Amino acid sequence: MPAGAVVASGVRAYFAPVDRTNVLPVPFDPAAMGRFAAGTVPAGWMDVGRLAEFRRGSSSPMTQVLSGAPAVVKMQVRAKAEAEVSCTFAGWSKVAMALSSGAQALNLLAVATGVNANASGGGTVAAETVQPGSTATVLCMTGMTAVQAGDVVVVDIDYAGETGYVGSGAVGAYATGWSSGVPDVHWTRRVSFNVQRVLSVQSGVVTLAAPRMAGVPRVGMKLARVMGFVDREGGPWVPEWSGLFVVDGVQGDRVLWHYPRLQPAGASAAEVSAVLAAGPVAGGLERWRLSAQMRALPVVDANDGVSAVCFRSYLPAAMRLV
Amino acid sequence: MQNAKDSFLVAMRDRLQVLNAARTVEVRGAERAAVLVAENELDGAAVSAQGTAVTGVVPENVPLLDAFVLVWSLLAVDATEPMALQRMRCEVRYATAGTKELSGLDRGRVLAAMDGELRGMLQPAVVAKRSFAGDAAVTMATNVFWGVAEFGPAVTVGDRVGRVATVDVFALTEAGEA
Repeated sequence: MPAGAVVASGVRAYFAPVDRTNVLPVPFDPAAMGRFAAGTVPAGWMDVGRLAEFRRGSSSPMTQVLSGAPAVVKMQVRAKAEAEVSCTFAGWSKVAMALSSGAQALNLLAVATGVNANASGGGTVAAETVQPGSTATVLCMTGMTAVQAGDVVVVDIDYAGETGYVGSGAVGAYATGWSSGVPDVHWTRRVSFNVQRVLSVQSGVVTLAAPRMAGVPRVGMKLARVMGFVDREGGPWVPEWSGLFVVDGVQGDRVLWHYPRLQPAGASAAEVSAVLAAGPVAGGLERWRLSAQMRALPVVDANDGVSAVCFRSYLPAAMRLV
Repeated sequence: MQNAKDSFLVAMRDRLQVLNAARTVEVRGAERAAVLVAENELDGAAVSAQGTAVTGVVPENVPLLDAFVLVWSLLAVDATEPMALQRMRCEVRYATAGTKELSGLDRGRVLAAMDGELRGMLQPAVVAKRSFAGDAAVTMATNVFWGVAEFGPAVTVGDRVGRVATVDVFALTEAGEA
């Protein structure tokens, strides 16, 4: 049978944190891993769901090499390799907000009584130490835990003034040294992506709604309650993620766009609003969604040493001519 | 969808009781707040007659005036939301012949009063979604919400005057919901 157009109902996006220390994206091999079930997260990747909008642009133009009089095109060379991706997220989440902000994203930790107000959250209540025996989804706390079902919590290490990339599993900040005082011990938990909703609490055992990004908590990690998320424009931090965008055709075909390295491009902290439903009864309701604009950075293809910014894969439907 | 429709109805009914407890209607021998859903009544076609010609009966030839009749029409589903967003159009039809004391000459005033009651019933434009499938109502995880109502023109038919207000009601589809 001849292959036709890919007919699909939308694009689903997955993101993974890049190992910034080693500039090492989470591996993805479309030949071995490309057929993962939609919504089933490949190892190391996070499912951010279907996108409301997805656009990709390539700025990898060909330049002509001219020769002779009159000049004729003798050959062409690729002047540069550059690509951008922009997308609008269907729902708000910690990761979508961080991707949209293109800057420093922080958790709003529960604050202690009487502390000074601060735009990214003030002094926090004491964090609780996670006990041995915990897993990525089950946290063993003491019976005195203040955590309740329905809370949002973050689990990460104390910050001790070290420099370098900060955050377990996914880097949330870079500490270069502090001219105006070292942040408090909660700073790692402020920038951490190890945030989850609490499903239940029973006798000090906290069950999370989904696995913690960095897996099993290390000894000494602590838990803090999160009231929400904040990003801020300003500061030098430039986040980096791997992006995987998947279109599933109704015939069983699949297209994947894999961007191993994506950094923010253009405006940060962007969101779009539109009328919720068009028609005679508009009703004055607007829908606000997060949008992100990202620029692709290169990686080296291990097969031949070529630098590339995007890998587009097509997995044909069964028995289609190729 | 049914949970959203039920939640909206109960919100309208409860809010009317607060705004004007005297606005009641007798249906099948029972007195209740004057908010009905046409499709829930025995003679739904009668109570949902087009425009303001609400000349039908519910039942036993009792004219259904001075009551708000909800008629569900358009349904659209927005699948771009992680939980499908349902949009249901609700037409709220109401008419009056005024009061006997003033021989109906106050029907314009009564209609204006009903306009105000409806605006009040629609505020705030959100209510927790509940399931009424069991013996006791169960509060669900999401809210039902709606936009600003669009009020149609007042139409006079005989000694009655009424109008149709239209409002789009939205609800997210939770797991297990139709």
